[in-house]
Amino acid sequence: MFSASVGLSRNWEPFDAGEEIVINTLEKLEGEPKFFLLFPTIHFEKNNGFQKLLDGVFSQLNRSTPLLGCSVAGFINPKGCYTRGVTSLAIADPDMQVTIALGKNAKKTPQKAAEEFANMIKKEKSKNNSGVLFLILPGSTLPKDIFHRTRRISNPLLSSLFDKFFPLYLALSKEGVAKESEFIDKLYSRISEKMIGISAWDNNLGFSNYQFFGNRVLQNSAVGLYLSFSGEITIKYATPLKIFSEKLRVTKKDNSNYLINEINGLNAPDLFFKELKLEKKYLTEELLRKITLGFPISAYCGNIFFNRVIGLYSDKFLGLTTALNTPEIYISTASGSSIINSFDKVTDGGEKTNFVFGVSCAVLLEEVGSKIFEVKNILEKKQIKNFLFLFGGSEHFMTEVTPISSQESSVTTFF
Amino acid sequence: MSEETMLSVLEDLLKEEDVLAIMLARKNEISVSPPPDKFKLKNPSIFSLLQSTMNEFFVVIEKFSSQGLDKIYFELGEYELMFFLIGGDTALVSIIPALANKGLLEVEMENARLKIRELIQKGV
Repeated sequence: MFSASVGLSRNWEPFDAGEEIVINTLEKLEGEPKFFLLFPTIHFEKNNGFQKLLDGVFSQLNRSTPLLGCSVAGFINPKGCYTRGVTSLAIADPDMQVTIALGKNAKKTPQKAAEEFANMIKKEKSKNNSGVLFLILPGSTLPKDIFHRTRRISNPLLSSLFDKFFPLYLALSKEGVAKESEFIDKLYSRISEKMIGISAWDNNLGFSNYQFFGNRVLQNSAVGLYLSFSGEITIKYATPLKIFSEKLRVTKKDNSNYLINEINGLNAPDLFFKELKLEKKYLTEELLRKITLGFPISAYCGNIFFNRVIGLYSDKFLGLTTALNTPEIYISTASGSSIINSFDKVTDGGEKTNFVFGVSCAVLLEEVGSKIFEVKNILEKKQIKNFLFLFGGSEHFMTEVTPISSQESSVTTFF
Repeated sequence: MSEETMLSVLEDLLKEEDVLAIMLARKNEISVSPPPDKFKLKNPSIFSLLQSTMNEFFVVIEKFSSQGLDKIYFELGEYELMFFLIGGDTALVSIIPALANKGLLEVEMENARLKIRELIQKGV
């Protein structure tokens, strides 16, 4: 019989939080856990806190139980909505088979990491059953000393250097840009499984994020879990964003598809602010932050509308946190109500299932703030009793045709 | 309601890196707050000013509370103040940096408000 249990700890002491979360997850689980997923917020980062958290977990959890997880910006579970603490998910199902995978150095060598990851999945997974891949990728990071609470490169020299040497930086960097698209494209040249995924994240500052694999705390690694079982898998996607600008065309960009230099033949930042009817000279840090989060770049892949947050801005380029190789783009935006409604949409049908698992973007959480409690109310009204929503850096999914990475969106799967 | 229990809720919130100062302000009563030496304010006079003017805030808060006033925000130089109201005569007040990720902090402010409401109802 299928059983899913979600745990919560609000303890600041990492070891105690680890112990507590295993106890309160397993006491509600009917059967032996097939795996254990762990999602703490970044608050445990200091003083080797994530390792202490895992030590606490394995003081209570059988070491043979596969464990995966990552740092997140926040989560919603049946107990409430939180941006501090740790949540977990364990599933017991005698008919479920579990395969775990790891791809190291997913930022430095994403293709190699994807190969390594795909080999582990292909070697172990059952051939006959249907299934779903839960993928965790490392999120992008910025150097804290340079970008403390800002996403603007104001120094013209630094802006020029960044523009010129970005491809070199990208090729050599072990950290920084997440290279999610590069990893996923390679992975899906080897496998074709349905997928739901999240990028590890922090408290929306973008300075650090972590992945967990067994009792190991990792950075810059892809970790995943392939669940095979009989029965249909539903993957749902929704974004609250609506088109704000006319259709635009990227006319100059860097080869890696992260920096947009020109749109419609004009300087990209100039055109971006012109479309928003804003004069650059009035841009404060606060306004710039709101604008770059509130007006992402969007595009279509078939009939799927997906988004990229502007993570970096200078007079010479708009820098995306995830590569975008589509020339036709839009500037888009969302309202508070469209964000809440998108959670309604993505959980439709969940009331008839045993468990709803969702990933969503930390930017949406930042935008709605405490109104996120309305999402929990929606789930309760629908009588969805057992669920877990995680808020991270990017959302990834594969339905039928092609894998997609997006931001400012939500993806769910039902069990 | 027990000050110690309330203090533990406030101290929990103050552990957040971006919560620089916190208090539970009550109309015509002494506010509850952790010791000021635990605050992370560069300019502590802001907190003293806030404490001494809270009753004046409550005059306005009370007038709007029947209209559903729930939260008040205002910017004060490099700081931002968040008021989460609990009825017309109590407010959870925090001081955060102007460029903090306010949305994420709001979620934990809401959790603290829920906890305080629960404690008030229980008469703890």
